[in-house]
Amino acid sequence: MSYHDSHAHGHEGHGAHHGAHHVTPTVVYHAIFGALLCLTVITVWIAQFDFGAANTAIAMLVATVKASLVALFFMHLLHDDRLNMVTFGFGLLFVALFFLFPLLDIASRSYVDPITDNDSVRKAAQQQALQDAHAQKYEDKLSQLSRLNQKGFITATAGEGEAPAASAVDPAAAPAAPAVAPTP
Amino acid sequence: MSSIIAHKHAHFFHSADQEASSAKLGIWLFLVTEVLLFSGLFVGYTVIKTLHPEMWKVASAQLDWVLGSVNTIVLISSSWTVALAVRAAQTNVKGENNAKIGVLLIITILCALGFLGIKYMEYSHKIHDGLLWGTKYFNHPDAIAALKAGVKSTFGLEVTALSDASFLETLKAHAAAGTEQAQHLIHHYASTVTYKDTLMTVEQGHLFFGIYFLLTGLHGIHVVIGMSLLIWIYVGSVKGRYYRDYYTPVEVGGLYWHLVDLIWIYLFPLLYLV
Repeated sequence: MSYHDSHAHGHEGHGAHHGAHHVTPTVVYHAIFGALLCLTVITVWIAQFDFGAANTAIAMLVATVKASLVALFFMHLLHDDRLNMVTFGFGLLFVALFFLFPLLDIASRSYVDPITDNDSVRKAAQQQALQDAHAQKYEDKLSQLSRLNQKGFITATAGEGEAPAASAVDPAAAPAAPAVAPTP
Repeated sequence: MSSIIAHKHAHFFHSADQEASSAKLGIWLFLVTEVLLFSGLFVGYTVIKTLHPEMWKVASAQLDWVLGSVNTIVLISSSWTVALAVRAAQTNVKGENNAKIGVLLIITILCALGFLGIKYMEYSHKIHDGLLWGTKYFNHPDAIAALKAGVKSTFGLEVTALSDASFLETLKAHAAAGTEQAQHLIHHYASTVTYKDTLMTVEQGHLFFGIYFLLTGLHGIHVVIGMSLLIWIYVGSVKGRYYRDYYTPVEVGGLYWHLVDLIWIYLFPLLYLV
């Protein structure tokens, strides 16, 4: 460990050959400590007043100023290798993403009363109506097919001279019903 | 003892500087994982508070903001002294700062102990009041059902929300006016549903205290770990291990301690003030 011996004593680490050893003047630490105490008093004082939702925003703003002072000066991020700041910054970015999606979920919800909610009743009715309409369409198709069958318009297409089976219009086989001759 | 023990960097590092900057990048990466660990609980806090704003207001009012403020000042002071300890190590040339580093670390450790002592007071008070989960939550469904039934039979009131302030006022007014049933109701539930002199009947209130105990508990564990690290660093500093060219443990331990402070800077207003 002789490579440092050439350092002049009392240089307080200013540069020489490595920026990682930056020494913050004591007065800066005292000033930051004073600022942190003041901000603590301010945040407690402001909390007495009711600004509604703004209370949380103000408290978070003050907390973020305090946290920034601690990170930049006490934790040396300001004068440190920029890589450390980038590393921590990426961490905070992912915290922001983590907050974003639950908040989007909450912001897009509406209150639903499971007992008295008329909305759910309305939705159930809509669903039922859709099902009914679908069933009605199916019924219509079936009756049309059976009418055609009665008139003898339906013939087997894949048959080899066999007589058209009446079961061709069996409701259960309706989706696979043979080709229907155009209505005259 | 004002001498130093020279540090020899590990053979797999090119230089002492490379060793120091690697250690620092390592601790910053670790601090990122710590922040992400806590952010899970902070997201839980946000979601539950947004879904139950009225409950949150009443439940969080049960915390003592004075104790919270004192603990904030204690932690900020400890952050300040540990920062000064790192600086003393940075400027320690021949061991002349050894005693200074030691004293600053001792003050930091005493702050940590003070913080834990105040936290113990808060915890024991709340546990005594039955606010810890699994004990006798004030919003136990049976207690709420019984209270609702009692109010209905006594006053003919259908109570849907026990957090309804007007209902509580009515009940307390009846009790103050000497209505025996109201006094009985309040007395009967005093052991399970009161806190201080307030009738605490906030439904879903356990969610607030669940978040409160988890957040402050996880933070408290970090205080204990940080304090243990600082004690270890103190021992090294007395021996003269940390000086201008090698103070990585002091700095890394200090960074961990600052993170404990950072988390509390957010915890304090979120739990005690808003």
